[in-house]
Amino acid sequence: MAYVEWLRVKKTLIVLSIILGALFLIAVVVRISVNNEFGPGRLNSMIGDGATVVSTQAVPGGTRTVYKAKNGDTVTVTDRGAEGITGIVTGPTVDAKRSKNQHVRIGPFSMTASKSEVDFETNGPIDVGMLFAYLTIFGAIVATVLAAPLARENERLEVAWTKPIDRTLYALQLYGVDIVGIVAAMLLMLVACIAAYTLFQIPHLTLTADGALHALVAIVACAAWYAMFAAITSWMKRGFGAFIGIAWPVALFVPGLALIGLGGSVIGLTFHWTFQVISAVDPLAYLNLSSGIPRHNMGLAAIDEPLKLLVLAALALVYAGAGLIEWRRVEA
Amino acid sequence: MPIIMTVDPRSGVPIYLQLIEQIKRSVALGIMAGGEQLPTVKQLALDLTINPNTVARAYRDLERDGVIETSPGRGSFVRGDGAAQTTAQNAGADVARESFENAVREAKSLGLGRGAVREIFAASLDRWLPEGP
Amino acid sequence: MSTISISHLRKAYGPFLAVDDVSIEIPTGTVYGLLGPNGAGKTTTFKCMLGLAACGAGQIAYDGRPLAPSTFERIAYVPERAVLYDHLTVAEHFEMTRRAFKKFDVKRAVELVGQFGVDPAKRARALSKGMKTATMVAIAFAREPDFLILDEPTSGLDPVNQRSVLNLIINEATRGCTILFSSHQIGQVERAAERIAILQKGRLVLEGAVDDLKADRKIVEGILPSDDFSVNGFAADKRIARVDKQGRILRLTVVHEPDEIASQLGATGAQGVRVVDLNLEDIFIGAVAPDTSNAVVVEGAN
Repeated sequence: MAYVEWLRVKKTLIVLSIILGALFLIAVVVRISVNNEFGPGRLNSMIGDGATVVSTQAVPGGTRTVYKAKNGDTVTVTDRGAEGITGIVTGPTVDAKRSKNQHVRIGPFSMTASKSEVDFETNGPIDVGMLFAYLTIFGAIVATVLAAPLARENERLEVAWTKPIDRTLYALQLYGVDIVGIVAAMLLMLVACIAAYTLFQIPHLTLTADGALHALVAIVACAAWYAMFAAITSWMKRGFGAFIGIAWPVALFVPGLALIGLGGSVIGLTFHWTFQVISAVDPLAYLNLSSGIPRHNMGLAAIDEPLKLLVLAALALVYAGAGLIEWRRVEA
Repeated sequence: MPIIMTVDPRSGVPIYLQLIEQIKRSVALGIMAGGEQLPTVKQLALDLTINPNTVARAYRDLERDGVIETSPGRGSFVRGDGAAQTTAQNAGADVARESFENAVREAKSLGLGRGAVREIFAASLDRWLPEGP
Repeated sequence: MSTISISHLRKAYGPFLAVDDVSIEIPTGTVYGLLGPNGAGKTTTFKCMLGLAACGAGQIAYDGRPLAPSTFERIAYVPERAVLYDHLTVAEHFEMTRRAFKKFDVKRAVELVGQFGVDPAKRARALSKGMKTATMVAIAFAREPDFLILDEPTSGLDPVNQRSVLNLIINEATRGCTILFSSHQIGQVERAAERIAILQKGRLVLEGAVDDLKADRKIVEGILPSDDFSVNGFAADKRIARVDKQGRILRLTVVHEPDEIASQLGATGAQGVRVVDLNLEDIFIGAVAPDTSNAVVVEGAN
């Protein structure tokens, strides 16, 4: 029934696939151009000038090399080729480190500093759920492309509404097809990320419960963002494109404004709370767009995932319902 | 024999009357013989681009007047017993009578007397029907 | 059975009454013409009939039952403005229709657009206005519906294609389809329609069978015996819609039994009594613009 919407989703996915294909080709070019760095002894130059190889021994799947760095550090590197590299650093630099027990993790790359040594790993487990959640913002972009299916139908209600189907069901079909399209687009991007990663190292994919929850939040956030456009535009016959265009900067700006407190003055607090309340209905306000922001500066993005899931799901339902009610009242 | 039928939908004369008039004329003149089949309602409606129910109405009236007969499944035919032609000719006489009456009424309303009308009538006869019984 | 019944339909846009208490009954297999000047409420009537606009009051029934989503399996609608999806090809529109309805003959649709010279591989945005209309018409007719609602189904088409559309309408009517169509081309309505309704400012001003209207509605005119001859008798006659008297010239717009009226006029001693036929256009103009007369009085110059 929602054939036209399927065509639209299909076209969007094809365009996305072409973009992802082009990006993958760029990754291939990068991989080829850095090929030399991936040969045997690829770490020799990285350990630093003047480092000397103390010993080399074969281990299952690779080689273990012990370097003595110029500054006295001992670096034990186990290189398993495409399976990745692990290493242990001990010596004066490590001992001198003030902060101990630090754990830094960016995706599969991790570094753990304890009292006596620093361990690092280039190919740790990748939580697919988490990776999926990182793609939320791109999912939201796809949601924007597919947004406002009901408003689009308003130009052709003479065709849309003379089909043998209940209008609510018809609208739900349009919503459903688009949501499936958004999730499919995110999955495509996920696959592309993993494929590009595989050019460099064989990924160790896992899925934790926490990752799954984050992935779910990501989907619901995109759905809420998509539904928000339905609520804004469903009554419009034309000009809805402008609203969709304006929505992005506004939605990104408002949570930012909510962070401004002007030192707790009355004006500042009023300002803060006004935008805080507006942010509450902005699905993008819940997105953790950068990992570098301190938690207390993240606003709504800092709330726990289960609560986030509930709030975003509620927003999605309310927005989708509002869009539907508006649409049913439109006249051809 | 096939007949040429035309209708003028823009005329003030109802289309079904135009059809009846043309078919009766064809039958009266013997162009359509007894037993000859008429086009189906659908065919005639499509050929003339007119409403099929209008054609059906004309056929119904022609059947009532005894000019054609319709048997379900076979179609409509000009009646074969000669009655059709008589009926059609009588209908022709009716048309002629009406025309005369209109003409005489017109003449009267223009102030012409019996003598003047008779003169016009005689001239008409001489011109259009100079011979015969 | 496929009857359409519109009763006491009313639709207002703010203070403007677009449709005001319109009732029409359309029997099965009837081709019904809806006429009216621009803005008379024809399109609004269609939209109310199809639930595209909410009617303020009144009922619409198809075979005695109100409109439901399933009714659309049996209804095909060609809107006044061809609404196609610009980015889809004609063939994709066929596919959309095939998926939406239980009954749709794709082969027939392809054949029909072919007749109108439309290439199914073309995108809708590349079609001319007439081709768009033809595509909408082809989709509607390839569905073999029980009810056809056509709002200006020939707009933008050349005379040959207009005739093709009329023949499609006639063909569907012989199948027993109930057809309601509007057109500004009175000649088309005169050909294809069995019954008509004329709307004026949202109200139904005339309704009836085309042939009956033509048989009943005539102008009877004559020259009265004297200037001050009383015509009150005619003015009071219910069969006479309008009496125009200019000096001795009398012109009666008769809506019933014109021959009877002509005899009566003759009996008064009036001269030059004649009965003038009216075609649908005259009847239409008489109904929507009663002050427009198709006769002029020529007065001799002094």
